[in-house]
Amino acid sequence: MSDQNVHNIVNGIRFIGEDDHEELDIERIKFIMKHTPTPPISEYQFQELTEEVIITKRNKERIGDCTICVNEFPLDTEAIKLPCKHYYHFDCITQWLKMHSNCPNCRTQLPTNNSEYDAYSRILAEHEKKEREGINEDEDRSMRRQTKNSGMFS
Amino acid sequence: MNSLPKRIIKETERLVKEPAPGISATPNEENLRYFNVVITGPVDSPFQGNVSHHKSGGVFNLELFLTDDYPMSAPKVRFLTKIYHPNIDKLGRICLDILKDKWSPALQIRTVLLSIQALLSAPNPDDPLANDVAEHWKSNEKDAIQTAKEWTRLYAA
Ligand SMILES: [Zn+2]
Ligand SMILES: [Zn+2]
Repeated sequence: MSDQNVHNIVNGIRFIGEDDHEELDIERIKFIMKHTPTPPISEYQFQELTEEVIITKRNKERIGDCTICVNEFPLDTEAIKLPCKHYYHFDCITQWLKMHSNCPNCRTQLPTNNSEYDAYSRILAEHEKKEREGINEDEDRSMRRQTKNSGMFS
Repeated sequence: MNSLPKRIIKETERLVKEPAPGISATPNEENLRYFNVVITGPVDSPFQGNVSHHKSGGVFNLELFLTDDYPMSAPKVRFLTKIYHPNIDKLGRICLDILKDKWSPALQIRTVLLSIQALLSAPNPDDPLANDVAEHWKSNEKDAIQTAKEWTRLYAA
């Protein structure tokens, strides 16, 4: 899918959102996301975002072991560094990122090979953030209500 | 069947040598990817055994299997002992996100079993697998806990 298409989808959703149908659309996106297997990382982004780091006596201890195979990184070999600063063997992390698009250690989401999926996850993340803020407001309100009504139950 | 990856050997060694409190996992001699697991019901939970008699109750048997995909996919875990819990169904299947879409290869058998132990301390009826149990838990928590204690006494001895 081209970026222009994604752009249209995102704008379309925003537009519908302004039309009081936002809840419905979020439900639809949630449903689609729930039944969409996590896409793999985009190969281009993997090249762009990861770094090959040579293991030396100086950095070996700080880097530790690969948490996927629980083996060490031998000196003078390369480890793959993700943008979140977690290190893996090339074979270990590529095997995981063939089916997923997050860091095994900290779950940082990386761009996938499916831009529609990425757009949907951005929308959901934004929605969840808004909802969290909303819930806090609701909680404040119900707390106030409880305080006000507490006389009824005493 | 593939040969046993080093990771499984290392995990098994550590599980046997330094078991987590209240958890034991023993590999099957014929199939080293299959584990017999015993979890002791956490203190102050309805799954705790009778405190005054050391050997009475609160002992839950589970089975754990590592597929050829492990650690790229989660271990398969199931309760063998009957348990009254909103997130565990009649077949012993467990509703726990890290066993499904929240699995990560940075997790291990130990972390999975600790999470299951934690689930016994904190049942979550809002994300149920056993709907009737969850309904019971939500409508009358005190009564549901009583049933859970009863089941622990009856089946987890
Ligand atoms: Zn590795
Ligand atoms: Zn990370």
